[in-house]
Amino acid sequence: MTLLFNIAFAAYLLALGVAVVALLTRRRVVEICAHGLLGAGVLAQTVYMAARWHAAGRAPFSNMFESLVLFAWAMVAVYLVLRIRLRVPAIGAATALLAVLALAYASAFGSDIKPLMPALQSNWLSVHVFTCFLGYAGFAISFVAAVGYIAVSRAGSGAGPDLIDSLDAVTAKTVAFGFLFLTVGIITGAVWANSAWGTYWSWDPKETWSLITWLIYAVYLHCRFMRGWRGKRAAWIAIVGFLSVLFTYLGVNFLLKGLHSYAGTWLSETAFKSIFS
Amino acid sequence: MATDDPKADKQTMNQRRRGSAERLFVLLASVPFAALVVAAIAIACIVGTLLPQGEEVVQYLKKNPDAVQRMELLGFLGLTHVYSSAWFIALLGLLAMSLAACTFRRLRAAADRTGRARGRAVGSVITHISLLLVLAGGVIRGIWGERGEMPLREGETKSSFIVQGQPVELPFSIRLLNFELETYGPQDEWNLRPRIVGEQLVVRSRLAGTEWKLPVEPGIAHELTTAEQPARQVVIVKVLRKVADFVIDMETREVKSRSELPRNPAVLVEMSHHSRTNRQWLFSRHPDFDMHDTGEAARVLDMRYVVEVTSPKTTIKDYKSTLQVLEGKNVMAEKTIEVNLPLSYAGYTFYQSGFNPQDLKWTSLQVVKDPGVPIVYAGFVLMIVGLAAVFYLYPQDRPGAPRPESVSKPGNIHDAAF
Repeated sequence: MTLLFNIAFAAYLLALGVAVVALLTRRRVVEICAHGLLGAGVLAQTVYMAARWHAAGRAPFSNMFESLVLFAWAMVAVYLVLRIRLRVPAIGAATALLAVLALAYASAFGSDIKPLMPALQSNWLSVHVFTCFLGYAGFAISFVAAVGYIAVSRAGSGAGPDLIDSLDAVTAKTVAFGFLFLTVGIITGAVWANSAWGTYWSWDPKETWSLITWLIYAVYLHCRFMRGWRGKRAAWIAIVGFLSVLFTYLGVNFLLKGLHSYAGTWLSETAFKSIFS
Repeated sequence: MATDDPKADKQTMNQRRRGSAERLFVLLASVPFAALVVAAIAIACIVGTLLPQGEEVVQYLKKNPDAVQRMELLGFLGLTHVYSSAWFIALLGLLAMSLAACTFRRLRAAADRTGRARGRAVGSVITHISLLLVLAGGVIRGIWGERGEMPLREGETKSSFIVQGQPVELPFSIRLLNFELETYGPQDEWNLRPRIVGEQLVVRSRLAGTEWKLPVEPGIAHELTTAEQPARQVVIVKVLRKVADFVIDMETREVKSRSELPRNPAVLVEMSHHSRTNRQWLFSRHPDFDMHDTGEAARVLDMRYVVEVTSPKTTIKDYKSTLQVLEGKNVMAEKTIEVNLPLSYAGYTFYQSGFNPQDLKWTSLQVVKDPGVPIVYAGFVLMIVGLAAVFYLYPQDRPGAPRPESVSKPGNIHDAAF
């Protein structure tokens, strides 16, 4: 099973290298290769997660390791499915890099399959976590596009207006995607909490931070579509939004305690002890 | 601008009133106002997650006794109970007003449009109404909702639950027929990379200084041989029995396990040396309580026996209560509830919330009445429908299609997706 994990990791790493070459040479064939590698990585990861699901008898979405694996999978899958590659090839390289980082980070945590505490034994677990991470993946790509936008516009006249426009459009499109799925994720979490504890909202830190993230992106969408904000101002909101996503995902586990505390800290226990003691 | 004509005066007043109402509406429906309220709520939420809230304050003060004054000040400012404070609820009220004004404005705009733009506008209206429904559900919960605890012992029937120390009557009663705790076995079948888990019996020879770690598996005999010095000895150690929660039944005078939880793990060990044999109970939690009623075999060897429960921490798998709903003497419903599977009856829902590890005859139920839930859920459904309509059923631009420039003009409400 570990073999599949390693294949996915290698595929993403190779995809990163090939995508960089594609950027430099601007050759279509090389770009297709990079996407093929990303596709192969997603496939290997899908089989890996399915095998893990089968072995555990439940969806593999329950701790830091499993969620990071899902995060990597979701980013590449969302990138491939949303056909962003048609507009800005550079985002492919950045997505591959994020997937490599997520899997590398995941391997710092134990991959043991552990039994679930009673509250987590629910079919809502798979729906809730899966939709949240599809949302996070959309936001991750929007972050890449927004950073790209800021970088390109600072670099000056070298880049054409097409690239700038595309980066802006990709940001908006992925934020919209992420927003829809984060909404579904929050809602399924609320319904689940209501069936487990009798309250759909309890201002637990993770819940509250997901709401903060949701509000930031709601502001982005209103500014972008209602007020016609484009360019840097919108890009900066998307960047702040993703920082909030990271805090919701990792920061809350580390700094704040609550109902989601089983998710583990942002560092593995061993790494945590070696650094902080 | 007073005039002599009272009729004209009244008209001006009406106009002015209408004028200020219009201005208020425009303000409430504006994006900058909404963004301001949203930003204030977001900041309040951040503060709420960073400062200790509610019961956390007591914990915090235990750790930091010097912080009393600081906490008092924060409490006075409403910062130690952010989410239930008047100013935060007022902010949510402003949000609701802003949402209502926006919805109304968008409804008017939607009527003027055609095609996809209309679909998008309707989707946007649905999304905003859904948020209002969720907030309304929250208000209903705040006013008519009830929430409390009900501890029950097996066989007991109760018709009230406890809210902040005070009993609240139920229109029916609840009986606990049975409570059951399920645990994962010490053999962790979930573990893909098997590790040594489970208890160990550590046998140490004081004389030779040798130590053995034996698995606690009843029935298997282990032959232990000490080194030559000071004297070679051979002893057979056998675990005869193990119990997770040692107790002696007062009636039968027999040892039994009170529960599956490892609260008082003990093993019955038999040691044989030549033909001499002795048996004794060893207690993991009480290593000094191995009684020293050592028989001949142990005395000969001068051995020390320790039971160490190195792992489980038996993990709890699930806990279940079988409940009956009674009206008078009639059984109206019966259900085995567990975490994630509550029982609902007559507007009340009973959740499995806990148990008493000291006495597994007790269960602890959470009792909730929340008439706002259907409205909140309706809001949830509408929110997903509305967002899907805005983003995917009637998207602003299809991939590759040229973007109409008008959509990006600030304030062009008729073309806006939101």
